[in-house]
Amino acid sequence: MELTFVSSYLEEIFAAFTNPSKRIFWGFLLSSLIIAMVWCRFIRHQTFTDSIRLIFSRAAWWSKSARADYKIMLINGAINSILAPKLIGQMAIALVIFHWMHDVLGGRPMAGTLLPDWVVMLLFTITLFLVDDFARYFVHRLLHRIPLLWSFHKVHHTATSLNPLTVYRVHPIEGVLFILRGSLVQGCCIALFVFFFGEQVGLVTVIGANVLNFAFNVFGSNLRHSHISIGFWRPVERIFISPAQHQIHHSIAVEHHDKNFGVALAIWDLMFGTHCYSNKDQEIEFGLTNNPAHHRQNLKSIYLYPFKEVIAKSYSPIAKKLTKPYIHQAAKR
Amino acid sequence: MALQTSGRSLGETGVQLDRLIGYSPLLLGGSQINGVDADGNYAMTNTGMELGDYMVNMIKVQQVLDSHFGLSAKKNDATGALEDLMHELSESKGAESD
Repeated sequence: MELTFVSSYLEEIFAAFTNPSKRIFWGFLLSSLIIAMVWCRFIRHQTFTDSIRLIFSRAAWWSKSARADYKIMLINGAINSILAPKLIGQMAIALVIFHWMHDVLGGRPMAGTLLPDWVVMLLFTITLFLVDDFARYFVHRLLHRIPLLWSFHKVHHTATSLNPLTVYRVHPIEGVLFILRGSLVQGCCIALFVFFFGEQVGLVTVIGANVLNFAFNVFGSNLRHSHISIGFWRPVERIFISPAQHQIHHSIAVEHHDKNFGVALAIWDLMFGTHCYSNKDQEIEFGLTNNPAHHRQNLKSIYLYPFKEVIAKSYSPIAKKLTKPYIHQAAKR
Repeated sequence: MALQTSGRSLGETGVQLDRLIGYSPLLLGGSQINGVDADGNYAMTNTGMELGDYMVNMIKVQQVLDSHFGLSAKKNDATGALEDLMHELSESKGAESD
């Protein structure tokens, strides 16, 4: 039992760097480093030494906030190893939808014979990418807009310096939502496509990862959680979220609050009025507010405070006494 | 049928299969044969089930057989493609937040 848990935990941590479906796969970290170097050398015209100093600055990689990121990643690995198997999986969701479609449509039409295999695979890959990206946008927006969810998502925004591992600075409650969202999206897409196209359905992959996710990650997705502020040409920023645009999402400036919720695509932000372009040479302060008291970096606060805040928000007079007044101010964001 | 008449008690799995299959394959009109009368005629019962429902039950029968008997040779495996795709899409245990 203990051995299973330990091996599952180690596998979880190790997979983050070796699985090409993960954001911090070593290959994507390397590609982000190359992009950052090219940007420093040829756009910012910095020397090689200065570029290295900027990219690996101690302020970004060894700040109190960064060290909290690393600890959270290690702790969440253990929590996920326990929680994830207990949650409903994509297979269960896919089967329910698959059975339901049989019931409703009274059989299986097998439209697949009308289309060649490669078209079906391409359709599935694009659909999965688009639905997943939209679901991420939608859930992310809810995490900011619903006070109860914001209490937990705020953990991610208490980071005052960004590094690629900040992507794992997540409260376990948000982690549960993330897994359920992923299961729902994958379950629905798989059931729908297998119902209509049967065994023709497949994923277009590069080294085992969805080709579109691979492209997103290989073109510097890790730079969004960094101090390297690379913006795109404006017409491109209407389609894809640039690293600089995502850094705006982490800005403490009031005009930047609740902007750029998108992950890969900016089209959802444009459609729903939350889009914001990056500016050349933008200087952004990361975090929640300009009050340092709101950026708790100790693990006890990071894990327990959201619960206290949720109880406080339930307006229980006793619960309010358990929380300090400034928390309510921070929660307003 | 081979499993049911093998003389070996299938326990809970047998009950699951009985519930899904019913008395016999579903006939047109939603009836099933549940026995033979004294004159040798088939006795019919109307289950009120439609063909679509029965098809779903057959898919579930495939899954029950697969999960309990570890089938390796599978023909017309209705949910096989689902499982293959699940393997292709790696499970995300670690939450990645933006």
